[in-house]
Amino acid sequence: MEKMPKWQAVLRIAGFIGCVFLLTCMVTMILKPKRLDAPYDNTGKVRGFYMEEANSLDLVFIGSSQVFSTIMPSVLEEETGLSSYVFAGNEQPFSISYYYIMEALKYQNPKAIVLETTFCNWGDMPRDAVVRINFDDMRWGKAKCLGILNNTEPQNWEYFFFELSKYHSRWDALNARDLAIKDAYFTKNETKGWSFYEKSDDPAKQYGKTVKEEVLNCTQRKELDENALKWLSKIAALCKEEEVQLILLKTPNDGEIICPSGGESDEEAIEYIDGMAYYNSLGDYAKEEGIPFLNMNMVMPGTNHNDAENARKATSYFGKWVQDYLE
Amino acid sequence: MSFISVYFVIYVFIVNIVYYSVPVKYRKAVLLSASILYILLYSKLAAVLMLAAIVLSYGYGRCFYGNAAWCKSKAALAVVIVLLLMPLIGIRVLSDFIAPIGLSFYTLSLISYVSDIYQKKYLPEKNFGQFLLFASFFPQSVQGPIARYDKVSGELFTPHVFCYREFTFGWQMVLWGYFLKFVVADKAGIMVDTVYANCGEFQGVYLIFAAFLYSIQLYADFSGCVNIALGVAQSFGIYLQPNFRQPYLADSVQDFWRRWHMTLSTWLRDYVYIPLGGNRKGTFRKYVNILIVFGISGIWHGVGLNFLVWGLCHGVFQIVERFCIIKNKTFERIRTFLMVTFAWMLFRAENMGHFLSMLKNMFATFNPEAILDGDLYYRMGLTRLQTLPLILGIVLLFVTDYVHEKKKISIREKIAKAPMPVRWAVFLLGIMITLVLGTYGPAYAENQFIYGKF
Repeated sequence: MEKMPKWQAVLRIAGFIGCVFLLTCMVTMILKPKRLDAPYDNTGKVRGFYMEEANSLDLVFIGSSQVFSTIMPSVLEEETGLSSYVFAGNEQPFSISYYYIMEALKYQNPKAIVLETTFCNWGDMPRDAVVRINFDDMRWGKAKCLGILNNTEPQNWEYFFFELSKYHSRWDALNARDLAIKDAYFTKNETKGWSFYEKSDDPAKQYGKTVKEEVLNCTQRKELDENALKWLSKIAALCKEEEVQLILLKTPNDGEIICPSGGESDEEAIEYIDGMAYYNSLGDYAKEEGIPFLNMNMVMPGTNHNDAENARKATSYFGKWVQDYLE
Repeated sequence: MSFISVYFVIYVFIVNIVYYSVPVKYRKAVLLSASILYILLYSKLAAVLMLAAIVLSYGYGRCFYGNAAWCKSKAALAVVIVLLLMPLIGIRVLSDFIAPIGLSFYTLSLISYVSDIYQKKYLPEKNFGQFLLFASFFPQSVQGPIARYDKVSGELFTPHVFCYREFTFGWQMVLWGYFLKFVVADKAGIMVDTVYANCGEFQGVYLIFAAFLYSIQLYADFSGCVNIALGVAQSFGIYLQPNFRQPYLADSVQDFWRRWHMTLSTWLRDYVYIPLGGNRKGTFRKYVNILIVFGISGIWHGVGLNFLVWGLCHGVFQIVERFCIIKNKTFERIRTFLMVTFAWMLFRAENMGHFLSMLKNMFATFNPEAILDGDLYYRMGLTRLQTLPLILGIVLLFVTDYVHEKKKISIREKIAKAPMPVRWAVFLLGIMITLVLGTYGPAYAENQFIYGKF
């Protein structure tokens, strides 16, 4: 029988485990869904961030689909000279944004982090699908590990850390795109994170309502979710620690104002006031903490997921505002 | 922490590292600690029940060789056995209650221990730590094999030094176990469960196919788990008793039970059949004893008339097959497989009514065309493409069994003799096939091992 020195055996076992690890990573890369089709082109958006030159960005936008549909980095750069990237993910609550910021600051040293706040009142644990779409394409590291641990139930950790267990059953649905690893993982994102959305219905026209002045100017306050506020405070502390300016941004969305749920205009208005009341509270928080907050609901019309035309206008407005602010 | 969790693999590997890192004299302590921790992580109730049974059995052994005359009586032994059986009976009666980890398996192990002590087959264990290790050794605490003190004590209590070959052979067996579980058993389980859960909607060939598949599923599931247990033990240099020896190549039902769940069969032989008189009291008593043994086996497997009938079926088959006049190996093998498969239908059914309804629907129509038009796979829950790994897995399982049976060749030994790149390629391929084609993860409902509930 072969008698092997212990060190040689250990080396062989380590080598074999290394091969298993590498092979598993490669197979996982192939089997992972490539979310490259607009508007949900998350893989390209997240992976594309890593293709940006280190410390080359002035602004990094973080948040949900509302920010990646509304902010066009190319317009911003053209009009203000500020380079930026929209490093965001679908339905991203603050508990995930925190780790996105942590990850962003690992590669970039921007003048400001701009956090979109549509999910300012979301304090629940995000759905598994949301965690997947937000973390699947992030590189493995401290941010991804802690992000998963803090956004999923312990019984699901093994599926998030061992990604192959989630996607191995796709073996019979693979197509050519799944094999195009370079396109999915190692290609610059030409739109720098902005996603094109088709023109959506103007809520004002759809429901025959207009945004009421008194609603826009309401002074009501509603207490924000405690957990959401906790994560926002952590974000503020992280930015302070990293000496990066934090800016809060609410992208324009009349959908929050004129909603289809109520039959009577007053009822719709009440829902809107509720929405506004949360942003008013957020404004109070920002003021207290000395964090700049731009609520674009107050300044221009918009839709749920703004189309290119709206996005261009919103980006221009934001560009001027932020330029004045940064100067 | 289930065997099919990635945490289990990591846990075993960490215990491997700790085990071989400490001096040899402390290695038993590492195994004992790992076993206790494993059971505690699984369930605290299981740990308490197990500890009580272990203390009782250990105490009986110590008393038997002490001065206490009372414990040398048959009545004392009977009391100890009844006490050991009480949790098992309690769980069986409260059928909604899930049996704590390994209850059936360690109960039988401890009954064999106290019975052997009573019969003075060997001296009782003096060291409580060692006894604790014998009864709780974590690889065998879920689904066996049923440990016999005289068979495993030498393996468990002897210090083991690191051996690369043993270590790698152990992990290879673990891999084979996972392959059987994920690629064969759980994939077959999707089809079987679809049919059994909606038996009113299926007729003819669907039910026949499901019955055959269940035979395969049960074998792959149970032997998969036992292979994981044997492999994990071997990675520590410990050999446990094998539980399977190509059971579907048996040429009689009697032969089947010499190959299927061997540690249970030998336990029933030694502690039920032989004490009842075995075959020493005439042919009629022998047949009665066989029926009693298999009736008990049925009850051990579960509560319900279907389990009792399943056990008795095996007893009756063993009696009837003696009168068969056709002596042809192939015929006998096919006959045995068909009889066992028929009996498994009872085992899988929810109750007797469910079984009878399945049986009726099985012969209600003649629809073999479903096999060819692809409808069969689809209706049973898998696409034709998804069925492919299952078919390949079944072929591999039977080819392996055939090679072991006929050629007496150890495939592991053969692979071990190949050059390193070939060996690594084989194992890496095996791992990837299991990981990619296996049925596991959040997309599937978690399928625990079937025998884990007994």
